[in-house]
Amino acid sequence: MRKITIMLVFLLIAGVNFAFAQTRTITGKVTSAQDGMGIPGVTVMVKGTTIGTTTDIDGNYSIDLQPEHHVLIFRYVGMNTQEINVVNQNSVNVVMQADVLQISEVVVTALGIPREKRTLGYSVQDVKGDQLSQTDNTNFITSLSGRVSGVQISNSAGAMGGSSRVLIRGANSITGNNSPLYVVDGIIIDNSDFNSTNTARGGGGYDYGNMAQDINPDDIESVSVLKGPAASALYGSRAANGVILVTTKKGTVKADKGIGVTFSTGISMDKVSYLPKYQNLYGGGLTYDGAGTYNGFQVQNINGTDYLLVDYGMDESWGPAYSTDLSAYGGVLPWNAFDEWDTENYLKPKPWKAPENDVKDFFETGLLFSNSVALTGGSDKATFRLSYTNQSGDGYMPNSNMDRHSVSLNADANLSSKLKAFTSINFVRTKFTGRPETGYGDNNPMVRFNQWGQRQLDMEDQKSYINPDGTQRTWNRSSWNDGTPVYSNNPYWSRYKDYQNDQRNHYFGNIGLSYHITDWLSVQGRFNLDQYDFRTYERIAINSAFLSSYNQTFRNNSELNMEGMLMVDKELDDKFTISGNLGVNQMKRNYENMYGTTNGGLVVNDLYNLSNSTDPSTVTNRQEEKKINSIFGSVTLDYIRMLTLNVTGRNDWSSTLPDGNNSYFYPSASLSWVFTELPALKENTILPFGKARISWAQVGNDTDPYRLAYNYIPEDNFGNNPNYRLSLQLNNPDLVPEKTSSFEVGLDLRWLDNRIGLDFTYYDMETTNQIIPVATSAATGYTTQLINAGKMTNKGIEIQLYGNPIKANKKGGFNWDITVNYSKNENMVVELAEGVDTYRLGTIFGAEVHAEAGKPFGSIRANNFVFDDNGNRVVGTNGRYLNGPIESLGSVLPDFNMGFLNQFRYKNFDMSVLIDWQKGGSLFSLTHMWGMYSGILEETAATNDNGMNVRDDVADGGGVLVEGVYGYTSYDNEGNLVVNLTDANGNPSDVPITNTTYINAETWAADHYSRARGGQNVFDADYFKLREVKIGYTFNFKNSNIISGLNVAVYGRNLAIWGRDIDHIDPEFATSSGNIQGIEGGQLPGLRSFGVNLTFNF
Amino acid sequence: MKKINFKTISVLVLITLMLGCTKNFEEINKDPNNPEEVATGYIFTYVQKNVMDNLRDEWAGGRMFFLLPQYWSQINYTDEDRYAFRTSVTDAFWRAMYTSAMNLQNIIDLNTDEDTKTDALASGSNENQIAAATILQVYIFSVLTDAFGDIPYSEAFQTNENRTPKYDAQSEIYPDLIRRLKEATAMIDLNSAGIRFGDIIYDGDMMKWKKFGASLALRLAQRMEKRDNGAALTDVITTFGDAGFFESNGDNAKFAYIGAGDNGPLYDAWFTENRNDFTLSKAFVTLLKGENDDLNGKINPFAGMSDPRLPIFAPGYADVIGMPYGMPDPETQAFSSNCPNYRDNPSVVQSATFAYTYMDYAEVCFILSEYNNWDQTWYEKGVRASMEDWGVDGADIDAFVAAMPAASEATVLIQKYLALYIQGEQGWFEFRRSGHPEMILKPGEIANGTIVFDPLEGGGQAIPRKIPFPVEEYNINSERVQEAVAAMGGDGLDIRVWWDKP
Repeated sequence: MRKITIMLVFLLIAGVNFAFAQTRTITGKVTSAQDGMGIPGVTVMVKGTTIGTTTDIDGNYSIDLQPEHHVLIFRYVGMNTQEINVVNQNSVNVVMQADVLQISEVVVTALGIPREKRTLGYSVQDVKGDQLSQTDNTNFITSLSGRVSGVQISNSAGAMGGSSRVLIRGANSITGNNSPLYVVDGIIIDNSDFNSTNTARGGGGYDYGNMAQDINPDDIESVSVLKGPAASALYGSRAANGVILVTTKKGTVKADKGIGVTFSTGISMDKVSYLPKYQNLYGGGLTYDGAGTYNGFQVQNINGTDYLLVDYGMDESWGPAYSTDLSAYGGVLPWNAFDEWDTENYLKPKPWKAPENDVKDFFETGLLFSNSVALTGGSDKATFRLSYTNQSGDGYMPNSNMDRHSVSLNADANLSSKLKAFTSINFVRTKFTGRPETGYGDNNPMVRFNQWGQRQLDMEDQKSYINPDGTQRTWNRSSWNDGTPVYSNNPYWSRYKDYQNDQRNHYFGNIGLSYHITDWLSVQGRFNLDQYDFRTYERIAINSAFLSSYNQTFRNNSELNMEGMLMVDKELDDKFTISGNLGVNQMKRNYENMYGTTNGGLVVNDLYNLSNSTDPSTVTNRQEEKKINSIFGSVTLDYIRMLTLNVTGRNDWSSTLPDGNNSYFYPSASLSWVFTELPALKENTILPFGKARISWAQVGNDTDPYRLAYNYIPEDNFGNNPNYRLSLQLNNPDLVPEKTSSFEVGLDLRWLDNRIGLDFTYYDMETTNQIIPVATSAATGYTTQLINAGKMTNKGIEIQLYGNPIKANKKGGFNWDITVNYSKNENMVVELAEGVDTYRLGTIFGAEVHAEAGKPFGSIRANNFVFDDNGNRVVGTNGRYLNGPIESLGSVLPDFNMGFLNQFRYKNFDMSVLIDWQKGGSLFSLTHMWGMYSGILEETAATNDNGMNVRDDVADGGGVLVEGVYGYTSYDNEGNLVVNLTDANGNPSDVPITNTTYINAETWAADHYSRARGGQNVFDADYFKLREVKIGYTFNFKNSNIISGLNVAVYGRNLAIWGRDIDHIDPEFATSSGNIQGIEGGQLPGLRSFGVNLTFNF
Repeated sequence: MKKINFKTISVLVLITLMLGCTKNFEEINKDPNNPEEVATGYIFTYVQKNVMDNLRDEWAGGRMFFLLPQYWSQINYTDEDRYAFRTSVTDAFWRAMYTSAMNLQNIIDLNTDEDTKTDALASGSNENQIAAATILQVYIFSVLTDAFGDIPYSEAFQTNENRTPKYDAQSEIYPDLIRRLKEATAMIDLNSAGIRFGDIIYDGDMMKWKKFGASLALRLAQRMEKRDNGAALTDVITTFGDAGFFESNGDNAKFAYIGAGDNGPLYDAWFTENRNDFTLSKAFVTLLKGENDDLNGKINPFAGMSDPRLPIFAPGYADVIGMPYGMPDPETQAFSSNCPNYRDNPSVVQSATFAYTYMDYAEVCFILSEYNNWDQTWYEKGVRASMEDWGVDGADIDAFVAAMPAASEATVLIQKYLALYIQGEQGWFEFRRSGHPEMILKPGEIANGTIVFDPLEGGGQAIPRKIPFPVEEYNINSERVQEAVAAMGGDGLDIRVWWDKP
């Protein structure tokens, strides 16, 4: 295969006609129609060749022309493109008109082909690179939030280098990948995340992020989002969820043929901004009574003196109230008063009060430094851009830091007037130490602060986390005279001893040749490679609350795409233009991992090696290989710049599907109609531009490798006995490809000289024949079975509204642009499989996320309240909620997302303000469930209707009164649940009787876990966020020989949030880029970032 | 120009042909990680270990089955003691039991199917493998039906043919389990190869498998005694004869862990997961110490006798009291110091190499004592067998047996209960069958001081008689599970299974 491609390259080169005879040189000047000034940087291309140049600072150019060529193309952003037929002249001056309507605006479409927006029959939205790079965000994906309609982005709150989940037009696949395809300069980038199911469901573990975040924001020229299958059909099956197409910055020719240098430096600060609202009236442990106690404390005689203690072994905050008078005992012995070596604190009672240094003081200020330098230059023969970026700094958690180096080279060379070679090479090396653990992890400090812990603990005291003998010093002591941790590490121990580190080398790039056979026909061949190795190291030190361990995982992934393409672009006559391409691609992916772990604990302290294991270490490995062969083609026919028809087709053969069923074809067709080109409308001034578009596409999809044959899974040997079991999943030798069909219509309208613009899209997608591992009763012998089934639909609208309320009437005048992006997607899981109504995507503590037939994807299921016929919640005569059936309590998918972007310009100032709004969507909050259970959150020490604290005795007017009516449940003969109403004494009642029975606060709080768990802990995920504010100033140094420009930007990200249904957490979160979403637990704190960025141009 | 066109196009056509060629695809898609065929002996190892891993672990064991008969109490977070079981535990337990039984079905199928039975001979004779797999499968089904009542049985393991297996009535399942045990034991051929490798329980000794099958039939037949007036029990005893059952501790069906990473599940709970949540329950300790439950006015027939197994269950705690069962968290705290701390003083149960019991000789003795009208000889044999099995010194055994009160319903069943320690589910099934020992704390009785045992779930009425069906079944096999709930009259903790006749 490889040989053939190389042969192709040779054949092409051999056929090149090297004659350069009778070349003539054309010179001229390009000026602006507006002010008659020369325009620097205009691209001048010889049509039908790769030859081109740019104008110098005064607008002058010079280009060589061969006899067979006679057309020059002049292109400049914001100007109408012009083609000039050069017959005999040697001097051509051009006056360019501003493209007020931006109708010749070019966007990059599938396969990197630039097309004029007006010709597109589907929706593509682009974001310019400078909007992404100036805020020094290490992950460019998060910067897309709110800037593109139809795209929902959820970011991991607070996880340094953590995952982002991107959904374009909703989720299409029930259990498969719903992430868009990432393509950088034609290179398909693997976007795997390596978060375990446990991490994704919020069970703990580290969020290692998704691989596409290695793309360096500083190198991005533009990002095009291809939203529907029609736009992305040429990429094949993996683009069924849309494509995020990144074009990197290319080399440009400087007018003086010198080297352009851009240097940019920035610093950004992360501060913890949102934490739950804690109660500040009661301390930790429990409230004792009876003999040997005093006001809720335990009286303990130590060395002949009586002291007051709380139970440090209890990781809850139901202890005594702070205001209690303890003068008789001089206070309470804190957790650090039992170590003789600590003479400062040994047996010293302290006041019982809220901590001076509370949770927020645990966090540090994250500081990220970003430095980037780019060199660019070239001539009409060759151009290049070479850049280097370093981002490094410390995270907001103690002992966390990152370091990322990115090197990128883009170069192209005209080997002859027809033959061009190009390459793009990127290398990114990333190192992290101390990523925060997520979810319900043993070492996630948030679990210890928000879910299980004692409120009176002072962070300053806890900084002493290690005893002189090397053992751990934690507040969570087994008893006063035994400092062994019960459940909880000291949070500083977690950060400094039980930490992880990882390192990733990521290479992606391409190399290719293109050749113009004639002025309308060209051929191109290229190799695209994406490869990374990713190593992670995780440790739990000896003397931690949990068994010490060390593990390391090495992963290696490579994907090679070999692609050949024939391209046509021809004006058939003065009315019709045809363009198109025909290509072949072979994709080969190899993935390997090796995981080694110690067993039974470590032997030697602080030695992290697999050999340092009490029981023998185990190593497991996995290999995967996959191949897809493809042929694709596309034809575009343009009629008098009014009607454009685009038809594409692609056929894939995938190694993952059964022989005979492994080929699938998918077509697409789209039509664009610029109806304002009709003679009747052409000269109208009200609506100078209007376009209608319609498209239809069908995309197939394959599956993962090795899902056809039945097989056995090796377990670790039992001694010398091999140990094998059946797979829990029943594979299926008869799988067929999945299929997604989509239909899309849209309108693109511009009024009043483009001061108002509207881009409206309606789409309707349907995915069928999905390859789903349906959950089956274990009584079938398997817990899941792979089948083709299911139907899921996504219907929605996207609106992009653009306005220019204040238009600068001259250069440097005040200008205000508003862009509003609105997306509404309605998803429906229409059906799953026969006899299967629901598929569980993930679960933790009785909160489950399902794909449920007849409901939107990602429905949260948990025990609800019991409701009577009138919709009242039902409580027992004990005043506690009844535990209702497990029901769907809402979908994780939002009702709609909206982004408001305001951009202001005045003289050299610019400013932008971005606001994100999400409405709807549900989440299950474990922080709420456990934070209530353990008496940490504000509500557990609130004041009730009697004006008493809820923790006061019910007999004294304390306690909690929940909203509901009395009743109980029973089953009828058919097994259905029946609600029977009663009065407060349990006697049957015909009418609902409102609950008046106060219950003990601790019982009520514990019921958040055991009763109506879903009803009490599911919230709406609404929010408004002030996502970004940026102010910039540009200095121009016209007269300096050294520096030509300086841009200063000051910005803030995630500055404010409002409109939340649950104040304790940030409703925007992701613990993976996968399908288990909507369960919040141990959420890392929300961060507010501020920064300054300086960009120097030399 | 034309020449190049031709060349280019012909190369493109060539590549297209190459791409269309998908000959090696099947080779590429052959899984290099997991085999398509393995020796059946390896699967035996998996099942034997997996059943114990999931029945005697900290979850289904520690947080359900060891609590229900009050062998254990939790020292903190006593939700499960008070019958608020975690649905995830039930789900995982159900899954582990059915998929283990599926692996046994796979062994049976591989030894039955004409295409594979010859290959399967590598692990032993077809009949002997089928017999051993059947006995273990019956063991699993019996635990499931005793815990849940009606369960999928006749339509189980139909893989993709039937994804929603129906629930069969326990009244249908029980006789069939005994029928299968009779068939399996009859099938065993002592003259041909046993299980050649992978049989951790008996190392291929088919005689012992035969006795295990018979003893299991004895257990089940007695359990359904109230429903058939003992017909099945008499039939089983007649069929096998006393010598057909376990005859000594040497016949016990046990799965011994070997440590060094292959650790017993309770070792892992304490020393890998670092949990110290469980301790002996007061009712259990009171029985072993020979004390009465004065708080609730209950008399211990063994009053005044200190059971020599207690120092083995709670080494290093001479004056152990045990945690009063089912108290709310604050009350358990004060008590912790009176309870064995197994992190500091592990008992043999917490050892990495503990041998977990599927079924033992002592239980057979107690069954036969009961069958023979509380027979004194079988009763004494049972006590001796249990004490020997736990490693009690011979002289201590003699002294205890000599002093103990005569065989009666209460004494035999108390000793059976004590002998079933660490077979938590069996202790609970037996309590439901017989109501013994009476020392087990009932809701409404006094746990300690003035604290009344007040369960969170089950209406606070009684000791549970059924585990509710897994939530997972309600989600993915809902129609079928609803049918079973209707047939059983509900799915609450108070619902009685078929053999549990009031």
